[in-house]
Amino acid sequence: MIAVLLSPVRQLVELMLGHESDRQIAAGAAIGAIVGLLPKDNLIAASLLFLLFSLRVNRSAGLMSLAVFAALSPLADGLMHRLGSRVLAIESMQPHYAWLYDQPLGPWIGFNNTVVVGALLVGLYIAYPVFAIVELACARLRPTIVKRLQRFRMVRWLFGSRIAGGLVGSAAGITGVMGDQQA
Amino acid sequence: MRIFRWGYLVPRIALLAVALLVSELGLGYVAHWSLEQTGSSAIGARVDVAEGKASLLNARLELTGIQVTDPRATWSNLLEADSLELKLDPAAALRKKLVVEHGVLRGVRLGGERDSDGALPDADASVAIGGLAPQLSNAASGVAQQWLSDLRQRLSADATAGLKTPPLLERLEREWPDRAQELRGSAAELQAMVATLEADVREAKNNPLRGLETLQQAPARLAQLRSEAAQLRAAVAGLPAQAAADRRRIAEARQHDERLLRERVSVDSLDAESLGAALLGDSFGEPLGQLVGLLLRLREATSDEPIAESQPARGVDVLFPGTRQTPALLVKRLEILGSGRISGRPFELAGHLTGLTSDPKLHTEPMRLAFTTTGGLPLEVQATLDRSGETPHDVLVVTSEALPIPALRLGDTGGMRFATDPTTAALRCETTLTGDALSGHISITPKTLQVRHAVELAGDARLGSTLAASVARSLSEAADLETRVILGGEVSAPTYTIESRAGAVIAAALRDAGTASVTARAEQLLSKHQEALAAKLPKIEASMTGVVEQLNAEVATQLQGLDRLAELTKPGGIGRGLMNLGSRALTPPR
Repeated sequence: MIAVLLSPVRQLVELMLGHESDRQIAAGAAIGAIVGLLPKDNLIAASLLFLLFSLRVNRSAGLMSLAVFAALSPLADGLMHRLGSRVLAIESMQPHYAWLYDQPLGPWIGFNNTVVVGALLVGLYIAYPVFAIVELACARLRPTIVKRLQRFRMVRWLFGSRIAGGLVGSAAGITGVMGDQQA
Repeated sequence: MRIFRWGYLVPRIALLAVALLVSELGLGYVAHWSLEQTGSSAIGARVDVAEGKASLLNARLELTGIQVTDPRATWSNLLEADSLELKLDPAAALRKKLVVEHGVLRGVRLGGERDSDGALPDADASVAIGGLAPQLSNAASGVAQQWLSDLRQRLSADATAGLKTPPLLERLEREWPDRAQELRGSAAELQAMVATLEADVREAKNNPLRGLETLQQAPARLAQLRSEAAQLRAAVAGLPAQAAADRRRIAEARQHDERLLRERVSVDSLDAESLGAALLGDSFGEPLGQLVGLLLRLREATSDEPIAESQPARGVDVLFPGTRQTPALLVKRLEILGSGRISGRPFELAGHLTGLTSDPKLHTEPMRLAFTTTGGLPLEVQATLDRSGETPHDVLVVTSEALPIPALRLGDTGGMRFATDPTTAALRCETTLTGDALSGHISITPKTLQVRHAVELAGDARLGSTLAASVARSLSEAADLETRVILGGEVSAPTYTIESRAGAVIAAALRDAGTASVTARAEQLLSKHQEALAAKLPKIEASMTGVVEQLNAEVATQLQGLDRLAELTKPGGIGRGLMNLGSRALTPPR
């Protein structure tokens, strides 16, 4: 129960102290941003979410980015709806849209929804800026934060609470980092 | 390939496969919940499902313990079913459509009591399906009662009123003797006067000097007597002409009376259509109302408006031109097996439903429902509900070769009323509802029609028995007793008219029996009238001829007397007498 409550905090700390590279964190954040903007009841969002967990990207960054952009997406719904309406109204694309919609799983994709299309386009548009900003932030801030977090027992305890076998390597990696710092 | 977390993917793919297998439980619950929610919102009352099972792999759905509440009576069920098995089209599911390739609805039962109230918490009464069966208006009036009243009046009225012969005969019977008496009196007076004059003349002749004045007045008096005798003779001579005129008047009066009696004998024909409606109207009113109510409920349950798909929470779903549009829900074929009970008669039913859809305008085929019942109520029912056009077009056809008809009491109390034994009938009912316009033909032909009770005619039981016996005989001999009901009007104000062969048979039998009764009475009166005529006419004839002959004889006697008197009062006769008197005076006595 406590582990569940502390899971978000642990993920944040793991994000900072984990062995994954800045690029992986940034990629996870970029994918999470796209998913966060999208309505969740379609195959596009489900596919991107599956991709987030399938690729070697930082899931924690992805989920945090998803949460942030999901909270902000209602503010941009008007823009995304207008953008999606314009794209879906392109005359030359109508036959292609109709063909795609008539394919199996076509209606499940959700591309006929204005906000889905608009959110996807906005998400793709901001994906690289998000990637770049997060990568830059990680490169600049992560060493400093890691150094400061390592002073706290709580941080060490949080890492100790993860007893899954797949985390042994991460703990060893962290220990290695902490050992380097102590050294 | 290092970009993929195989350590992450492989376990999760295996987990997904396990989840697919396990999801059959979850999907069953989802289907169970979905049907209850969507069914309740569509019907306007609770739809309960006891259990649901679904299989993605087999694309099957099975629901058990289905109860659909009757929105008009929320403590009763409109329909109950033991199980519903559906075979779904997986390809349609990939396109977000629910298409049932084949389904079986078993253990269908109509009606049934519920354990709890099936009303929805915020049910809007205005969207509840159906309503009270409309009250059909019967165009027939109290024609039969009017006819019976007219018949009773004809029989009870004074049939001799207005006849001319009896009063004429009475008058002649009185007038001729009076006339004869008067003439005889005149003749007797004349006879007396003649005798008096003759006596006076004879006396005067015996004593001419003393009777000189009498002798001088005798010719004048004789002339007067001759004049009176001539008048009497003329009066008597006019009697035969009067008799002839009276005979003509008698003949005319007889012709008038015969014509009058013939008119009174003829009974107005009873309008067969109105009679049929009066007798059968009440028996058809309620079933026809239920039939129209059933059409209304079918119309409302299968609205031509598509079930509105829920709008997405964010954005708008765009419909691309050229997209293949199909209904969101389509049941291609659903087999129906069940049982029921109507008027205490159990029956089994088996049928199928095709083309049930949430958007009729996107589905070119109309919805068709066909089932047959066996057991106590053998029927074949076919319904076609076409919503593809601008105007909804519904057709309901019900046929039966041996529809049980219970004992019926036809007509209303106090007038013409019949009771029939239970029988069977061939039924064909075809009803069409196009828009709001209702039309239909119903034909019922009973195999036999045994009438058990009589016509009840207040105040004249004998006539009632006569009429009833005539009707019973005619009905038993009639080969064809088809009754047709024609529906019309609009669904909000339906009307019907009844054309009954039985009505025509009964009307003819009543007319014949009524005519026979009235004719018998009229002939009885006519015969009495004829007897009276036969008794009086000869007397009158005899009195006419007797008077004439008698008076002629008397007048002849008068005339003879007058002739004799004339001889007596001749001047020679008087001068000779005077001369004899004078010669006797001039001749001296020797």
